[in-house]
Amino acid sequence: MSKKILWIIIPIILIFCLYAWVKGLYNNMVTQDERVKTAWSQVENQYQRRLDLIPNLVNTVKAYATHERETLEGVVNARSKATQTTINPDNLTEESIKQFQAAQGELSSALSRLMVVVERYPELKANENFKELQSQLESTENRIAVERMRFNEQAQVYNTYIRSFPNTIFAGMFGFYPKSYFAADPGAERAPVVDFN
Amino acid sequence: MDKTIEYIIYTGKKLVTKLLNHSVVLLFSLLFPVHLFAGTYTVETIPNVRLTDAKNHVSNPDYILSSDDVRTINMYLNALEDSTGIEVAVVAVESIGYNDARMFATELFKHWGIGKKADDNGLLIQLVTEPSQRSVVFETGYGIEGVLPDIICYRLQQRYMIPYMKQGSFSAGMLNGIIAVSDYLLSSDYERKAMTGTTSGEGENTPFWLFFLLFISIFTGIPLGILWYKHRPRICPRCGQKTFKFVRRQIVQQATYTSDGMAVDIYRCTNCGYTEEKHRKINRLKRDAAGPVIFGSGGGGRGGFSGGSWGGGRSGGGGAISRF
Repeated sequence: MSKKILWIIIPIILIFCLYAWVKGLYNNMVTQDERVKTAWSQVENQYQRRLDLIPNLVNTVKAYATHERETLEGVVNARSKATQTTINPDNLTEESIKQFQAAQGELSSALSRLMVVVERYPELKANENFKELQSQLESTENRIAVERMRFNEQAQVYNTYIRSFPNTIFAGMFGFYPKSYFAADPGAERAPVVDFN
Repeated sequence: MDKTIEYIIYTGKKLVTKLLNHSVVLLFSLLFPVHLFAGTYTVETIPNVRLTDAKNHVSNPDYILSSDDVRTINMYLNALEDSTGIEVAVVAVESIGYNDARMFATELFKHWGIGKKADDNGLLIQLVTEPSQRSVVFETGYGIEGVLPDIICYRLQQRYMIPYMKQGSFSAGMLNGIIAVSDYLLSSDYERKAMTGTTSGEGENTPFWLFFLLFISIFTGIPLGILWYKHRPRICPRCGQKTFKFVRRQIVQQATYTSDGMAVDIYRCTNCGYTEEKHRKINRLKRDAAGPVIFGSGGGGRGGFSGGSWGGGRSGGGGAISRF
């Protein structure tokens, strides 16, 4: 009689243990996944902040630098392109991040071209409004860098978790896939060329 | 004989504790040889003065700021922290090597965890005097980005600090800047406008009076509702009119610490005079173990020992930099 009971109790305990273990794994994965998404939304926030600054910047520059239409148009076009490129945080694949980064990178380089052009207009450079916009842009770039770094850190924690054994067996089953990282900006590996001509 | 052994044990113990105390420092200087060159700091080697003195906000290892100014700065910052909870850290160093000043501030903010953990209300003010890196950086925690937007940081720097610092009086510039920041954080919107030319820029525009109205209506509405509920006219069981009202409560027996009390609520119909009494229990009085506590023991934790630490707040790279 007592043996029979044992045969019932042991499987129940085993099933319960298995359940608790898998539950822990799954919930951890969900937590990590959400953290990565939060980090991503912060990244997007900061990029959005930059997008919001640009119209103001363009208008200020326009008032002084009347001959730089092409450069200004470049910024405006790059901005509208970047506005259209958004990512669903559920789909943080290498491809989508690359696309996002390419659009934002284009805007970055358009902006830096603008900043070079601005050097020719001492009146603009002395303008209080412009100086403030420049400082805001600078701190926005800083925020972007910070949030990108934090996103990469968080994505790394997540990836390590779902790719280590034995979690990796379950991750695919539950639908958790490795997330992609932000790569360094193309061109960042090259030292900037200073041209005095 | 015994005495010599005791003495040997005693000196041995002393040596071990001394070594332990110094090993951390030793380890650091081995890991970060930069430390040996005076005036060049990394995030890890900038002395976190708050650890030894909770009332000290100023890390001034190169004595760039005068001791009088440091004292005044601490006075302002302690007052600010007491009234708003905002933790401000001030760092003034000669050099941070080849690090970018802006990123350095972000890293240092993270390393120290300035600001309360729940509010992220920290502010780091960093001054680097080395000519190639000469700059003032404000790094704002996530929680005060709203009251202290980047543009306001920039204006405060330009208006209150840079004029002094350009002439080389770093100490006066820092003091003046900190007075400006603390004034700004403590003043009303109207006064702020005078200080920087606008109201708190990116700050919220929600009309304050709306909240105020909501607040008032909730706080008066609830007691009024309860009062009405108690005194509302009910249907009289005898004449059927809606004139049966609560008149008063009569206490039969006061509640004590050991037994429940008893009260009688009297209801009377104003139409036909029908009266009904309802018995109500009054809950036994409760004795609080600690007696009445009006003020929490919040301040107690810090008063006990002089050391402290920052609250573990985070920042996201907000703030502004002024190079000069």
